[in-house]
Amino acid sequence: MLGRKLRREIGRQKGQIGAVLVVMALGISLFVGSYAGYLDLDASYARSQRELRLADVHVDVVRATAADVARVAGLPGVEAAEGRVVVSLPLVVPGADRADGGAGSVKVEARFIGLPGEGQPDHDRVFVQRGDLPGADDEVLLEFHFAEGHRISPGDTLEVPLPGRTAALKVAGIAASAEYLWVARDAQDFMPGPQEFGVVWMRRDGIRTLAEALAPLPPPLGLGLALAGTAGGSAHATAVAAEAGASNQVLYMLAEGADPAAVKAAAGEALGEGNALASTSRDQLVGVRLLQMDVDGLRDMAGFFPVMFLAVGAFIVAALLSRLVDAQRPLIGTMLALGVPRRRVLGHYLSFSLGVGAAGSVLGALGGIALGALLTREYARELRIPFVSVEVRPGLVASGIGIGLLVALLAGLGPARRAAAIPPAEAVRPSAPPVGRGLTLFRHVGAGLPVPVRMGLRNLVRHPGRAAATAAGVAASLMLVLTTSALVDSMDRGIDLQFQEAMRYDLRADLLLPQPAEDLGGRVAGIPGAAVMETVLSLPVRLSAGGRHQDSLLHGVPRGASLLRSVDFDGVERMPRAGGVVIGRPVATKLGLAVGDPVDVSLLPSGTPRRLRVDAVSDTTLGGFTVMGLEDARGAFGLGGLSNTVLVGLASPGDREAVRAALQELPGVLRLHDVASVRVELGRMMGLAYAMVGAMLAFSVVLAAAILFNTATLAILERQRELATMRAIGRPMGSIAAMITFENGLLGLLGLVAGLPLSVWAIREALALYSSDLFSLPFVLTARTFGIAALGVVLVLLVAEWPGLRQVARMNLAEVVRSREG
Amino acid sequence: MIAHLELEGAEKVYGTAVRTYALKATTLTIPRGELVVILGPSGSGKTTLLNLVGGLDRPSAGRVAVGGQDLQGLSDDALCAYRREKVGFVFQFFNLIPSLTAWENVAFAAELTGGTEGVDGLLGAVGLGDLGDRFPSELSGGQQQRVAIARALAKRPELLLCDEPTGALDEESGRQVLGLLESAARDGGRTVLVVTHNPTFAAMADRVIRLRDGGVVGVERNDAPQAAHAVAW
Repeated sequence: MLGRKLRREIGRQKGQIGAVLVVMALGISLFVGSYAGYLDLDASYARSQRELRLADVHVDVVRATAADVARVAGLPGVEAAEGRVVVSLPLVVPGADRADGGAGSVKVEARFIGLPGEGQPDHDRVFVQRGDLPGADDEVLLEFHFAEGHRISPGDTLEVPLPGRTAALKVAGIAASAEYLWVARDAQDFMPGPQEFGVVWMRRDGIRTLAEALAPLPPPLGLGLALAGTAGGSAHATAVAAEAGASNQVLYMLAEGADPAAVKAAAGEALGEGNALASTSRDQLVGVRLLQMDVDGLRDMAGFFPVMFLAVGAFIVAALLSRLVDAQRPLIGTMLALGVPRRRVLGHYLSFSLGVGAAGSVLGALGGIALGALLTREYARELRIPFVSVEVRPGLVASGIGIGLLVALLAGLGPARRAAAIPPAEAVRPSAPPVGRGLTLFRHVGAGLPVPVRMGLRNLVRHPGRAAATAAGVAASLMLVLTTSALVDSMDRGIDLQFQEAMRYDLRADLLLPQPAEDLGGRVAGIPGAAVMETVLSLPVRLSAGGRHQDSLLHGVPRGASLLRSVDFDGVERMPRAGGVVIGRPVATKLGLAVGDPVDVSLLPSGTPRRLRVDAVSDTTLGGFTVMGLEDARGAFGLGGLSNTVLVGLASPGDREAVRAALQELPGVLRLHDVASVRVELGRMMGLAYAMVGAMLAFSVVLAAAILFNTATLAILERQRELATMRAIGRPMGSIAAMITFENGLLGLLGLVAGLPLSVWAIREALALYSSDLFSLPFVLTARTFGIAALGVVLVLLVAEWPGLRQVARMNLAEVVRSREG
Repeated sequence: MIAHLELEGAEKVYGTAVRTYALKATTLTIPRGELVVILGPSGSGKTTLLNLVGGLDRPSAGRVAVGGQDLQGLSDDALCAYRREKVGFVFQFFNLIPSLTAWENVAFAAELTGGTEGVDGLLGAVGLGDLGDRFPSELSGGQQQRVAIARALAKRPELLLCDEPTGALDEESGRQVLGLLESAARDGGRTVLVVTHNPTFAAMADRVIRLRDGGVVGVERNDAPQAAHAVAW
């Protein structure tokens, strides 16, 4: 019988119950979906790495012979080893469509990776999606993102500029690789677009032919191995590539149970003193790490958002049940008087919340299974993950339902226990006076104001719990909406800072080798349309302090530089003085450095450390770089008079094509960096982020609406009799609506005041969650965003009154005014 | 005799498939200024009759007119204005607004049709001149009902409708309330309808309407009504 009562009560509160169901289902759905997506993607990456035999360790070496590789392969703890060549060469894509809308040939930096003469390598295999493996020495296999970015198909031809001629390369196929599912050039340049950078596989002998043609380039001008740090990005790598049988990278797989550190040390010895430059474990490969961060983001999302949704769901369930218990006090008294045991009363009201929780959880779990599969499929499609694992995990689904039930149980426990604890004699009497103690104070609330205003004010004081719940609902709604909106503002401001304050050039040309700055400057200054030109040094360095290290890209910039500056998140320029450097905030945090501290800076991979002083800490959205005075840098690293990067500011956007073409033709240019293309590429990638934040915002709005709808509706329904009496004695509906709006407006105001500091806290937490040494965002909360969010929340609150008011307008006055206060 | 209330074949039916008559076709005329007691057991249609006359409900058929104005065709807004300007209600369970003091509850109604100048006088008239700043929760049931009467009178209604006004009160409080209703009719010239199931109240009425099973079974004229304080309880 009590079950029937329960079903009817649920049926009578369709609107509120529906809102709870949506919120609970969304929460569980997000949990199950995000976590399933995380597990599936994690499994898919692991499977792809396993199937394609992504090496456990990549060792960049000066030069390894077949004998060196064989020694590594024979070490205890090594299952297999293989040498390969990785070298960066300029590659021209003829007639390319560029992301910025331009057309014409594009020179990019291509990372050529050597393949055996026949078939797949033993390690780091490729997954051919279209076409075939190279069948001849002048054929290449293109990484999927690069091919798609330029709309290249098998059969097309690309060119490598060589001294005095070009080498034509035929595209044999398009492929994906476990190492480059996320295409990163290095840790400093981890989002290069296909207009700048691409990965290309070619037979080892084909690479040797190209390298031989390039070998007559000028020697490394005393740099030695200093610039060999980034994979293949040096003349030295080219020299090794030109040598038959030599490798500049050794890959090996660990045997089961091997100690990675011991094997690393043994491999270093086997390769010879000073030969091993950097040893990178599989999980530390930049692309793998970025993918892992991305997929970990899903895991974090599986924690963060469901908690918010379920907390709101719990809040609404508790509010609904509380109201039901209040409304049914006489009934509860009657049940108890009839001899119904208290535990049955407890169970009866708990089953209300559990019923709602179970329905929401089951719906959510079903939705979560679909969401997880969708997430995995979309990610797999976008990243071209070769081997995808999608599975329904009964344990996860059961956990989702279990969490939903637990939340519902906890939400319902308070009101249900209150119901079971009501003394029967008290319950069958009309409800206790609304205000007991403090009546004297209460009667002064709103003294002197019109009676309806006074009533509104007193209603807040009269039901402090309800008022607090509504204000908390408004505050939570504001926090949800403002946090996601502020993320968008932060992303916009972060991009502006990056491109309008820090990287103010239009085009940047990176050279394969440093050249005399005067000659370089002279050539660039003569290009029509190049209005501003600065030559700088860009060097891979290692910063060390207190026994900790961090690799970074150091820019030596001329005094008064206007095209490349270090700034903080307020846009204030932070440039170094003589003998000092400006470091990025993530570096400062990681090394525990503050302004004035000493820091050792050495050229990668094995330069002599130079002790410098931290003059300032800068903020950048993407990556982070170290800045030093140009002359200081030249002096510190023995590069007097040289530069390896030229920055150009255009006279007008119309000059872009001509200047691009002229820069591409400069001798020794490895790649051209076009800010317009980067911004377009970034916009595309940020599009995903905006879509994500947009989805979060949509969820937040749904949540906010659910909270506000329930709080506003309950606030009205709890006072049905009072409002009906007002209507019965002739107060017009408009006047009653105005009174309720006044009350809700007051509560909204309270909620906004409380919600602002809460929002600031939540925004900072969210920014911290999304920040890493690769990516950070400024804290931005504009008056405009706050205004829009606050207005939105208040508007939703006011709109949310409508169903309740409609119910008041439609209520059977004759029936309600005769009812006894329950 | 000028008719104040007129019902011509007024009926109230619920349901379509199974029709339940809350009030069968009723024809009644009640002159202005009378104190009328409507008697009948539960379910006899007393409250339905009161609701139709008070504009809280509309007849399913027939005509209900108050002061010559037909109610059945009025819009919701017009009915609301009718209740505001012409009707005072006294409910069994008082229906005072808990967050307003006694004075403010009366003032809340007085504001609807004019100013609050007469509020003190009304509270004095119902014997609560000193308790105006008390909240409903600080008053006894009888006191709350007297505030409710003051609230009903604050709008200077021409019709006072009371649904079991003593139903939740003890005898002494009940007598006080009846005295006030009597005074509202005799001294104020209002038409007062009191719905009750207590037959002894018939003695104080100018007219008694008896209902049973949704229909009027008798209308009696009482030419010598007793004073309220003399009514047996």
